[in-house]
Amino acid sequence: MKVELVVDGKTLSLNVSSDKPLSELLREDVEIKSLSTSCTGRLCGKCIVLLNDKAALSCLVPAFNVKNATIVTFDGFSKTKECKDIENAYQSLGIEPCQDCYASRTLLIENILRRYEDTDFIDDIFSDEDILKEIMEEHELIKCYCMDSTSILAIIKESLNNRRKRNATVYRTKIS
Amino acid sequence: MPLYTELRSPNVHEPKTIGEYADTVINYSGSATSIWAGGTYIMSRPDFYPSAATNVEIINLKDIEELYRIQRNDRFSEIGAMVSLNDIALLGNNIFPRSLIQAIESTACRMMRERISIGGTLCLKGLNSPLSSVLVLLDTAVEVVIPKRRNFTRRWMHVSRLYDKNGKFILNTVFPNALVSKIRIIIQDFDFEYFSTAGKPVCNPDEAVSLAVVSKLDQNGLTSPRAIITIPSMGYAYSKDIDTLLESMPLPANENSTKELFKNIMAYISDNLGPITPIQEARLNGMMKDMVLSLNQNILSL
Amino acid sequence: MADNINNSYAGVNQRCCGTLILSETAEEDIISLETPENSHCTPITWQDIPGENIIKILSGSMPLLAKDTISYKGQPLVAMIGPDYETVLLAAKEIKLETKKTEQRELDLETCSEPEELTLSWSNQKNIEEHSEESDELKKIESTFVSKSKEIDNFKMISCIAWEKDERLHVELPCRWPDLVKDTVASATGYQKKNIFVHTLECLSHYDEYAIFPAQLAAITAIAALKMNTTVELRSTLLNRSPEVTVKRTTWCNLDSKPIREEVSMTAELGAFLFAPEEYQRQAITGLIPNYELQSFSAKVNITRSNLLPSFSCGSMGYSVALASSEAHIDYIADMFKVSPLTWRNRNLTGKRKFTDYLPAIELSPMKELYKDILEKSEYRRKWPSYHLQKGNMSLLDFSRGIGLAVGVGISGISTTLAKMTKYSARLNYTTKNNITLSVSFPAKGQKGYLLKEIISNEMRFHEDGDVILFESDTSSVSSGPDILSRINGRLPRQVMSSCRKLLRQAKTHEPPLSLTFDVDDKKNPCEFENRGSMAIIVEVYTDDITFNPVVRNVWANIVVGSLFDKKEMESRLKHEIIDALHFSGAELSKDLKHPFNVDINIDSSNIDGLCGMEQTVSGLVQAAFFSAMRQCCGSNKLSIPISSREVAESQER
Repeated sequence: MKVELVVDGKTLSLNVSSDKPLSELLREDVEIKSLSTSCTGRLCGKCIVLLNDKAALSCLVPAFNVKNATIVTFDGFSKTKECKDIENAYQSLGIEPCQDCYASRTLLIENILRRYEDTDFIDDIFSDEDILKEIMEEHELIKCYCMDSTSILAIIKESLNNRRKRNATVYRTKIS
Repeated sequence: MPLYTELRSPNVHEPKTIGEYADTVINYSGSATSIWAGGTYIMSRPDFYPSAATNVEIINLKDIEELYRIQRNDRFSEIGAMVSLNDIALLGNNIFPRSLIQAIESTACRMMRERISIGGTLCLKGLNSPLSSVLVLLDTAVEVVIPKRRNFTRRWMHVSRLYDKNGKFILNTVFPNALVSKIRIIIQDFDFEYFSTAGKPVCNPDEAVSLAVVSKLDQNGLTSPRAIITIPSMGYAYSKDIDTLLESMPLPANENSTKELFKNIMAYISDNLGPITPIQEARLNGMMKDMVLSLNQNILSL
Repeated sequence: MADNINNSYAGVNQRCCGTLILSETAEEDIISLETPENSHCTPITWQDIPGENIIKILSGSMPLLAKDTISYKGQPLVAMIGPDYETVLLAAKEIKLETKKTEQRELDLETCSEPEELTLSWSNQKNIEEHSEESDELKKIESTFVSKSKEIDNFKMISCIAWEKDERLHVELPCRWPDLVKDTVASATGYQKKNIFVHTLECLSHYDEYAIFPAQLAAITAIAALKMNTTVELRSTLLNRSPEVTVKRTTWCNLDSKPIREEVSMTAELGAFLFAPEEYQRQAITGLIPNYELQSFSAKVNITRSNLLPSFSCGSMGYSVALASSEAHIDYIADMFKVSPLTWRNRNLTGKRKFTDYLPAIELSPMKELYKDILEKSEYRRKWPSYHLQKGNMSLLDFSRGIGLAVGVGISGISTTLAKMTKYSARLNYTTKNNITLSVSFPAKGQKGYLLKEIISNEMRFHEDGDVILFESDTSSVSSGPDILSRINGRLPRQVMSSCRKLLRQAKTHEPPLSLTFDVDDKKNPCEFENRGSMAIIVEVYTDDITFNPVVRNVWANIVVGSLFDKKEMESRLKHEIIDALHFSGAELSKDLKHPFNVDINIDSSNIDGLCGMEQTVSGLVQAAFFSAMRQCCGSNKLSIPISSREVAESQER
């Protein structure tokens, strides 16, 4: 099956088996380095990519469902300013995911940031128990035990602040 | 020249309407066809890929616009089978019974829920999800499309008819190639709702169990209670006998009546589903105690 | 078949793909192994190995690919090489393996014999019968600590690429012991070591999973590459397992609860093949020495074999589990005298722990200072009796909580005996450009490398960034052994420091370039190990009423390390290790938003030269504190690490 898709900004046309998992496709046919694990659908949570701007476990997405899709892997995302927002939060808090889950964890955080970056009051998000529970459940999907929920929430809050500060600067520059 | 030396790439059909679906499924009825909604469960099976035997013809439902429709009136909501669980949770937070929302939230985290369809969840083969049993409890109806040569019919039925008495998915044995197209959830109010689940039904079904109870409640106790217990690896326990036990339970319930209730429920499960594992039993006992505690709190605050 | 592939595919794809087929059974004789004939794949079996079908690790060895017998589940049987992964995976499914159960387990005694029992004993009394078992004045307390074998399934896939170019053999893979990769490839292929190039990729080794298996994989990939005459990429799941350990301990205490005499017996099952089991015994026996004064002590450590995956090092080589058992035993003694473990510790953490061949003597009373602060922070004194009342008929409210305390000292690196047996070295070069290069053969990227550079800069009084250059994974000039957890932070820093000083002295009399090769491990230490770093930890748990999962709510830790370069980084690393050890022990972390899981860490530096690897200590003490807390929570003596919800449910049926 011929699949045309955009991976990390590059338009590709691949000839792959139609039911090939996206994770395998990215690893073998696109040579993405950040997908180092292969749980073959056992939900290890370490193959997260942004598929059409939303996080997805790439081992659960078949090739036929990514026709004309836009995919961002950590290989590409790590070079963006958005990634710096999160990495700066890691640095300032002195907490960092381990090498095993770094890529997936960072992309998952990005997914959450995109959901809430336009919210007016950050404190409202972090006082809403349902949202916090939802965020924590999402992170439990990644089967790596290097971080606790308190640290994850702190990173998200800090990253969200970084993102909003940067967005505000960009907005001001545009206005001026 | 084949794409891979030993592997045949499955043909993917993407019908745009139910009619096209019916045509496709009838045309390929002799081949190994596989119907894909979200595909999450199919792809999480061991040895899914590469496989020479399975998925010769894939029918992908993602382009059938009708399956994404949501209609609502003051009595019920009709939800297309391809609507994601997350959308249902967001839409129905204030209108659907709380137990249904809790069951949806317990199915998977938000990121996964966005990719899991309600129709796909109802049609899992070999696994009983707590969500499907809650839908049974809530008297949900499903519209089933039954393809025939050059035609198809639609039929509404109670969701429990998708399963046999032990909760095993049997729709395709009764109606080959049938497709669940809509789910009708009745908007109803309960005075008491309880939902709890423990363990991971997909990863470790032998340790997982869930309990859901809905009922009207007044000072005399429970009126028309309904309860369902899901044992993912075996099926579900849903019976008038259990409902009667709950209805006849004096409230506020004490420890002895809780023990008695649990004993009777265990006897029912053992007779109808078979023996469950000790951890499932312990967890169900914990849920029963928790449910009775919540029930007592409710009745005392009336 | 091979020719067919060379002509048809290798030229097109430039790389063949392969998968390693691992056995699903154990202790079986292979009757026949048939690979699919009509597929486009080439099997690589033991018969294709031009050199030795063996991987040698320290004092032990095992086959690279199973020959006649399958010894353990997960043993590599055959590699299937083909044009693409789909083809090889499909061909792998068609392999027909016929086996029969091995009637009598045949042990290859020459390569893999169980070591003799290791014992340690002392007695201060001339007449030990004075304190015999029958004495009315002594109370006998027995406990059994079991750490069940746990397969580390972190879904890791390892991939190795091998190719030959200009009569040089290259292998590229993630690994923590490049020397072993080189040796194994050399012995399997017959290539000279100087013509083998190991390109190491970065990897994180939570449980030392990259120590041995990569070497096995690399050798098989290299054989495949030579047979196919093309580049081969071979993949496999990465396996590792912790051993099953049972520690039985009996203590005789006087009526004042003072321990007089103790006997400990530890049995560790290390799998089908044993590598350096004597080292495991030495580390284990060191951990078995308790933190209280005893007039008489005897300990023995036995190693057994089984039909399970060999367990060389799984984040620990015996010290952590032995330390956990020693600390957990204190709860049993305190129970017997109906006092809290804290009261008992306060009474008995006095005097000196005896000097042995394994550890120097240490003063015990400073340990009380270690837990003083965390007792206050955790409100241990209030919580322990309160949680204790939940037992039996004293309980008013039905709740299950527990709080556990553990305190101990760490060890770092490998034993002096093993250091003397090995020739692991590193090299310092003082170049003509007045900078220093350090060559080690294991990967030392990231924080470890940064710390080594910091140490050298400090010693040499360098101030600029480029003054110290680290050549890691440099197997051409030195052989530094494995980078298993806690080792690199063990004695290497101190060895680097003293070598820097030597180099500085040489520089006064000689012009650069100067070169100094030194031992990575300390061979002159009088004891097998040194006390390095100490830690006190309190863990608070509860069990969920419905799921019966053990849930940890709070952890308080006070840690004293040697030199402390980056406190924030150290804190983060220790937090990772605590969480990891809790997860290993079966704990869940609290998700309750009102009381989320929290770790409170305080780190101090003792300003002793060098760093200390705290991994084994943290792991052991976390296990002990969690175990104690769960004992209190469940009121059961039948728990074992990792604690499962099943065990908790059983214990609460009481």
